[in-house]
Amino acid sequence: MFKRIDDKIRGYLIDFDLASLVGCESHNLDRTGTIPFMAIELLQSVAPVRHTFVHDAEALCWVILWLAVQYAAGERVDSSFKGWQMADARTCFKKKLAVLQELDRYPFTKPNEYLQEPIRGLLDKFDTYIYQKRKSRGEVPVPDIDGWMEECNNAIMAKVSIAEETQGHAL
Amino acid sequence: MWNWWYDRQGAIQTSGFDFLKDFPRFLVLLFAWQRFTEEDWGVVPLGQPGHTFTCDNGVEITIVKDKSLIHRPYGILGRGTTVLQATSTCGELKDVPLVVKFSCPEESRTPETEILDDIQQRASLLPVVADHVLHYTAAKTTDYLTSHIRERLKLKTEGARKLTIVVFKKLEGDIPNLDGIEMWEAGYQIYKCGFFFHTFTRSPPNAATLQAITHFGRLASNTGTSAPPI
Repeated sequence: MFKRIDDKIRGYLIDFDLASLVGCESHNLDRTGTIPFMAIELLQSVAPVRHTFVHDAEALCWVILWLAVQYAAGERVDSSFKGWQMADARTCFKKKLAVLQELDRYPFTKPNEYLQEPIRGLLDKFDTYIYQKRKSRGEVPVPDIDGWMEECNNAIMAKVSIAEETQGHAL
Repeated sequence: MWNWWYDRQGAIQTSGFDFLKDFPRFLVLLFAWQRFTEEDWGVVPLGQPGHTFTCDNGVEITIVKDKSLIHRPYGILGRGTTVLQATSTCGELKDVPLVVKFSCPEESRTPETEILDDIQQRASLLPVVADHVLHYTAAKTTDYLTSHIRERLKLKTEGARKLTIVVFKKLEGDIPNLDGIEMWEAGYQIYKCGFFFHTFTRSPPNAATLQAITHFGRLASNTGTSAPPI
């Protein structure tokens, strides 16, 4: 949902009735998602993978790519990703890897061109991220986009130093 | 004659009887139905237009009389989240447009209010996030549980659903209804929030959190390819 405050848009995160707290046992062990838009890592793995925000972000990029390549002003003008809807997870995984290899073979349609560079850039970053993750078989740093992670990190570190100080006094 | 009972958990069918051969039983059934209240028929009286009820924190809420419906799904199974417009006469809530969310989540789930409390606590750490989450104004616990009837009939109660009521301040609209850069902006803000809630699992002042946050600090500032220590 959103609200306008002093003419500035403010997004709100709502509907937590299907949320679970991180670390709590999940109620759902299935891979939930729409296959054509699911993150590569989720499609690839047979074992359950912990679903995180990185997967959601990647899914959004696939949605945008899907729309921006195939549609112009609401009309389908291209069918580059035909057959993805019916494909199983494994097939879709392979098709996605192939697309990542040759992103420039999929030009965005006219009104969406301004999204082309940022979305290609993001998909590239996810590609590297997945590759590194597979190579190191563990956690790797999430790609920082636009420096906002640093921005958030600074905010957290400021709070931590305050908390550490108070804790120090208590000891 | 067979009777069926439908609720958010599913359907229950009785065994059949012949209402000509067993006429007295049929009469008893009719008399029982005659004595049914609206609630017995499955109506939620709290959600009726113009109805006023008091929430757990003492706030009085009135459902708006006309055009109160904001959202209602089709179908009788599942959570059936229904959102209605409401008002309150209590202090600072006077003249503030409110919405009431009625839904029947599975009883085994963590209640939405509990998750929202946790989120509020964690969001207080970071203004970037606190601005984009909406804490509930009031909530009301109910004793409507789909397992009641199943317990009485000695049926399986697994997957029981509980009616929950949460009141929020009304927002303007859905992000997908925005256009162009405004949609991206709102979506990006929400994405940042998602990032935080995946990263923080507890809030200070406890040692584990500090550790988690410092770990996150390393994680975020680590631009190399080596994995951060866990």
